[in-house]
Amino acid sequence: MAENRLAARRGNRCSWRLSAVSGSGKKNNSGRRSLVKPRLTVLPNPDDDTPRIMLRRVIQTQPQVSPLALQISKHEGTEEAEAEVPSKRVSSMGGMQLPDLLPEDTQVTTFHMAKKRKKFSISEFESAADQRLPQNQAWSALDSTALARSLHVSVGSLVPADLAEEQGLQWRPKQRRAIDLEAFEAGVEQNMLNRKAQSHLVDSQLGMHTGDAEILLSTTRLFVQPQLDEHSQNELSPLPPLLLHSKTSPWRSKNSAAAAEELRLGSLVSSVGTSERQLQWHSGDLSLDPEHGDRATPKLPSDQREHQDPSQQSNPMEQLSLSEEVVAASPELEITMGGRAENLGRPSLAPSSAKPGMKPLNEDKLEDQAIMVQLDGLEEESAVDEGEDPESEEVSLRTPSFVCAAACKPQLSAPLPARPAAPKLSSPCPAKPSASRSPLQPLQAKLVVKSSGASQRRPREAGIVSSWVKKVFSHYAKMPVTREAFRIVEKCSKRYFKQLSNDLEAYANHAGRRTVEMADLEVLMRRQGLVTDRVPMQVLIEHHLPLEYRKLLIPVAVNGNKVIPSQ
Amino acid sequence: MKCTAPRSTLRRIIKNEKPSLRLAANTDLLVHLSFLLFLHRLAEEARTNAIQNRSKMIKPDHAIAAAKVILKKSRG
Repeated sequence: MAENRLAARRGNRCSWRLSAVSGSGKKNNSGRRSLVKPRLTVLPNPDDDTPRIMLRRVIQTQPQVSPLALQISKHEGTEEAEAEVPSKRVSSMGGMQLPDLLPEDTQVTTFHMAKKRKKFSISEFESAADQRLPQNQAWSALDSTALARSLHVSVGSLVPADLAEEQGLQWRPKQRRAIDLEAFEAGVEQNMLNRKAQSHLVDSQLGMHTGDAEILLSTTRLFVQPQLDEHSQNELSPLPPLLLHSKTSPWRSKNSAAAAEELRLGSLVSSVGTSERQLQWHSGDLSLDPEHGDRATPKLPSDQREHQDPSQQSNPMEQLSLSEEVVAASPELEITMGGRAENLGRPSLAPSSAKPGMKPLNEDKLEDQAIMVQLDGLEEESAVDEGEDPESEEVSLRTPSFVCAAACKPQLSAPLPARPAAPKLSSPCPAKPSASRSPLQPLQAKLVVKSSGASQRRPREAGIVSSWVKKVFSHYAKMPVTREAFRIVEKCSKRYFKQLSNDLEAYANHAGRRTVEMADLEVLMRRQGLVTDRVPMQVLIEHHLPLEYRKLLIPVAVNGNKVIPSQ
Repeated sequence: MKCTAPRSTLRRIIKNEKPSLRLAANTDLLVHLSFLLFLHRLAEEARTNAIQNRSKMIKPDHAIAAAKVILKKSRG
């Protein structure tokens, strides 16, 4: 105690120097001074160890959390060294040992975090300085053991006594425990074993439980269980459907020469696939029936498609087992075969029925059989999700839509002829319903009307020169335009002219005239929104029309009291 | 871009649709002007649609969507 005080006094003087030398960058100088004191007193001449190094050492001795085992040994070494240092403070032998500590400390610092922690650790160190001296040895020993267990990296000298206090302020991560790889792997294997225990045949056949991949492979092989009755059970093996569709399809062809055999295989495979699926979903539902298996057949291809497994090896194995199953066809299969025979006569229905069979529902065996009949053919098409509606239904729905679309157009053409016949003043009204429809349909209808009309002289009714329209449009669009888009633009322009003529006629009639005048056109453009109070007609003319036309449209006053065009 | 407007063509079109209607002197120029402006608006709308779809070309669906809007606008 007395020695410490003396050291403190001496440290005060030394701290002066310290602060002056090392002050600038460090914020904790005031706090560290006291800590530095003991160290300073230990060193006879501060020249050997710069204050910076000493401060750093003090900071480094803080307990650190590091998952690396390397640190433990180092810190253990430093702990003991540190333990010796305080004891030697008074003896002023620290100078010899401090340099030894320094390299160790430097190693430790590599993982040291921000300097914020140094502050409180140093203060705590200072407060517990008295306690540390006698307890250093004991603490260091304790710390070393603790470190070994809990990956706790801490320097012994600083840790003691303050452990309890520092822990509250310290990083939480210190509490971490080293992950035991062996225990982890053991747990994983335990899980796999438990899962396997549920499946009846897995354990017997697999016999390997080292890696997950192997486990998966083994589980997939279970599918191939030859027994029919146990087929569902085998399928129950809680394994992801690793069957590859590509492999099963060719494999099926090899196995069965007769169509019936193929069907059987398909049913079996599908049943396996289905069972896989159900297993997946229900995670071990063992109540699968062969019926479920049949239903699973359609799912199988989709399953195989959707899941690309690396364990292609399992597929041939499964297929082999399936072939065995075929040989040992159960009476159920025979029954289904009989059903299939009936379905064979209805291949047309198969596509539609096959897709419903894709659903994981309890469907008639016949349907499943029909599905299986078409399995080979539909394998390519059966890449449908199980939860979706049957593809056949979708397809059937699509076709009607197309048909309707085609039918709609001619239907729509019918009301269009009525439009021109409508009263002229009501031209905007028919335009509305027409505008509400898609422009294509009325455009097509217009074409029909035109052709059916009196003038069939030109196949293309007074077509605006399409090349000119193309030029104008692409100039305005500033983007490449597809041919289809051009055709649409042409149709639009024709429609537009129709509208235009109707409107002009309406305006002229409203004015009691028979010819369309400029005023009419201005009204038209105003209603179109092209001419507004802000944008008078003249501006538009000047903006868009070439000079010759402008002159014609806008009277230009020329010197000589002339106006062009002469009025 | 062409400097001359297909005046005769325009006249013919309107004549075909509305035989009883007559056109004044330079009204067809204004008709031409309105048609130009219509194409302009159509092109702008189609261009906007194409850009919205992040495509570098004006596709038919863009044009259709644009036509729907612009035709309605230019009813007068």
